Amino acid sequence: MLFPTIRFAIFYLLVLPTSWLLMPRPVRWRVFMVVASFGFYGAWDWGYTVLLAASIVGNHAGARWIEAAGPVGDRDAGDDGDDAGREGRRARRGRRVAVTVAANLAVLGFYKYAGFLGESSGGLLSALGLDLEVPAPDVVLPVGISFFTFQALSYVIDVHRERLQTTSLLDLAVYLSFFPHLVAGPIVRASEFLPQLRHRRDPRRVAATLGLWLIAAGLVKKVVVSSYLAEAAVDPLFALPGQHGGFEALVGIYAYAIQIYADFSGYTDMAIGLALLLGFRFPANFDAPYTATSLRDFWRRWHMTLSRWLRDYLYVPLGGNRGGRWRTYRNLSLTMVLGGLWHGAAWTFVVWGALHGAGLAVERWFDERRAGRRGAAERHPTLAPVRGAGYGTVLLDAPVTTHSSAGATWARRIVTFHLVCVAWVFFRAESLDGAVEVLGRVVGGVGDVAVNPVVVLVVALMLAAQHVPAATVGRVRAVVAAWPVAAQAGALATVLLVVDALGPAGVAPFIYFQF
Amino acid sequence: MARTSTSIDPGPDGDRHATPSDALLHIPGAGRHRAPRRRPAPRRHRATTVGGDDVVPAGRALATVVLALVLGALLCADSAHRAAERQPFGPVRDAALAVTGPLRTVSHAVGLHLPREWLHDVAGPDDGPATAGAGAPLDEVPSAVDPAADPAAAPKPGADTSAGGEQAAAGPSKVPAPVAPATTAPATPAAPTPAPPTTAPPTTAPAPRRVATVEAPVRIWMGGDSLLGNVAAGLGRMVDDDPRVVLDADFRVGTGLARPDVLDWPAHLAEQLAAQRPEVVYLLFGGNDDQDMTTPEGSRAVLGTPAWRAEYARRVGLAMDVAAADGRSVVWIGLPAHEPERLRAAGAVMAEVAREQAALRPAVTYVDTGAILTPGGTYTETVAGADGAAVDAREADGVHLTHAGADLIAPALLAPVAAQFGFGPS
Repeated sequence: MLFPTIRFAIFYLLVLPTSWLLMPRPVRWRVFMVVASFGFYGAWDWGYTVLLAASIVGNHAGARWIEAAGPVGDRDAGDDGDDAGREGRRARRGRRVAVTVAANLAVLGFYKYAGFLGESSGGLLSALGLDLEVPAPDVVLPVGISFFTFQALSYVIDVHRERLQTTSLLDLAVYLSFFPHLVAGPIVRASEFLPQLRHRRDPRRVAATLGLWLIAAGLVKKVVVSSYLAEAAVDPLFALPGQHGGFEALVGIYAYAIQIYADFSGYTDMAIGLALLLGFRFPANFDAPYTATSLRDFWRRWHMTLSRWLRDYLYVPLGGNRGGRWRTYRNLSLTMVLGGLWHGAAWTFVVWGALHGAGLAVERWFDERRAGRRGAAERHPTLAPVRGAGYGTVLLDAPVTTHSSAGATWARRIVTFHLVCVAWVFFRAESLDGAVEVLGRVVGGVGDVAVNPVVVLVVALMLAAQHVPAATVGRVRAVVAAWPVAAQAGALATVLLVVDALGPAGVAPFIYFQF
Repeated sequence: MARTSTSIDPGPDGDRHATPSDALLHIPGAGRHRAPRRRPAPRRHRATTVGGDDVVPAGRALATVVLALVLGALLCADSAHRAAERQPFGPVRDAALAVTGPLRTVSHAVGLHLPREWLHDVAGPDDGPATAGAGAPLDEVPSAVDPAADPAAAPKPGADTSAGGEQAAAGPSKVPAPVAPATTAPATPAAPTPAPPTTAPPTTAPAPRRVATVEAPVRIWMGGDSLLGNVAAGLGRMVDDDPRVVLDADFRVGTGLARPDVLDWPAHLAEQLAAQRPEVVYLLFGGNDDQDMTTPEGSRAVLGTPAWRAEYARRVGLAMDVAAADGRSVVWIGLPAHEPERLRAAGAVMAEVAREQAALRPAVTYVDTGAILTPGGTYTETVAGADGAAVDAREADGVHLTHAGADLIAPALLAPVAAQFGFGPS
């Protein structure tokens, strides 16, 4: 069931008080939360719950199997254990985590990529003149499979790296099935969630104002802003690009940049808010991404939980920035391409990821050149992963220009925004040809300036809102927090009124549901 | 929208949080980011601050949520009631109406419905006309078009002559089942037109009307349910580079002829066609019509019964007459067989009905896409393309067409228009 629906409101109204009433009984609370989360997931399709249950059981067994291989320990901590034994255990752990990860990726690959691989292979063979039919199974993609698979992988890999001890099957079930983040993130790691699960949430201290604020903001962004821009500008442009003039197409692309931000950040705001009311804190997923002054900066602000996951579980294992310049560029590009593929089984997503990978590599190259001219004194030391940061952390060891005028900063913001928008065209288009056609309209389209002024206004307001300081928002929220219950309820009811009056009839699924 | 991260507070060692996510992620008991406790707020509010966030007891949080939902339900009672009415007939709908009905009564009694009504009128989306309650659609044919109006339109973008193209009102997207309402202003229906014919005229191919030119292109308008999305895109791809054709599409997810309380399509057609003034209208319905209907007499026509067939025939005929008013040509897109059993059975009846009604109206051409996509009437996901290669024509739901499937039928859809307006695929 979707968050902004009456059905979900009724569901949550039952879950919220029951959760707090059961809080003094940890086991009952866990069982209740698992049942509620499975009920939430089963509302889409009860078959999906079988897959989720299998993932929970399989990853629990896999993590225990990895742990049973024995500890490797930390040599630097003075562990003088037998080196041969340690190496043997390391190898066993390595093999077992490889099997467990492969099993997870096989399931994800089957549901998500089997059809794509089949079709692509068939097309390639056909292009080579080989008339061979490659099976391309048409499998329905279970909602949220990419998200809970990545969360499960974070658990087993952190167990392998000895950053986490295995937990009980019930705790793992709560973590993987927890309904606020189940179907479209944020990607909460086991190391972030399980400690909160072990400490009883204090019913006297619920961050309700922040939670309700996020839910309200998310509703407005998703139901009003995103839906409006999709209907008024984006869907018509991408359906019939030839019917649009150049400026119209440009505005439509800007509108998509805002649509996808409003849709996805709106959903994760709601997810974070719902979790806060239940006593859990999720990491933030967005931080004003369109204020970014470079692509590196953009990835420190956009889908931060995914970019952190890719950094820690893909980029770093590939070698990261160790191994020289060209290997770093390769690792960066490969990580972004795979990140693009994670979003969907289509060449458009691969191209989207490749564009970002290439952009990041080029940026790094330019910065290294500038640093080379300025001297090593400006180089930052290699940083350990910083919580909440994205790709930018691993690139912070590249020299960064620190002296910029306001004009130069704004110029970089504008350039970065447009680079991101070009990539978004591939993300949104149904095909590579379609993306090229839309971009072609911007360059070659002539004629009309029949642009909807409301669309332009909404885009401008949403971009401007990204520059409102967090401290200002915090101060406003602190004022609201001091209001009595009735006033706060009235404010939230007013938001519901606005969302209902200005939103479309019916609710479109969130864009990231398809990932 | 403004950033929603918390305000940044220093931890006990003076460190500021590096990022908003650091500020959000406080693990109870970890002690790393615990901020100094400030003086408690006045007793009646009882909000305190921990780690930069205002915190309250769970009971107060729950009270706020419940009160907000109750107030919200009263403020939005009208739309809640409409949403309940739109449910398929059955116990869920009955239960929803049992709740929203009294809610709506209370809301109207105290005037709490007025703010939403005003806001929706001022700035809300155009949801299109809908009948009150699950009643029958208009049983008169509205015509909002001035018979003297010139259907020739301004050239589309990219043409050599002056600008002034059309923008498609809606189209498909990667989001599954999106809602895509049009935003044109409603027109006032005028006097009803005469009753539809009841005898079949001689069957002939569409007669030529005029030759479409760059200066006077043929204006095509397409309307229907979500199935129209990719179909319109497919036709659009065929004519995209042809300046002799101007194409608009308006598809409404979850609508059809069976539920005028969701969207009254005949009335919507009248409004849109008066505003858009096309020469050719394409219509596609049926994806959501496999459900019971209410007849004009107020009785319930159960799906699969002769009464249902008769009522559906009446509605199809009405839609055709509205579309064909003022001299327009109509192309009714007949759907292929679907995979879901219920829709497949109902779809066969719908296709027969539409074919019969089209045969009674010289201005209406029926295009059977089933002949291309489901030869023999049996559902199949893949069909042979023009070059003999297999084409994956259906989405995973077994109903909607893929882009490839839409491209397969596009030539057949364009053929009647090409015949009437003297052009072929460019």
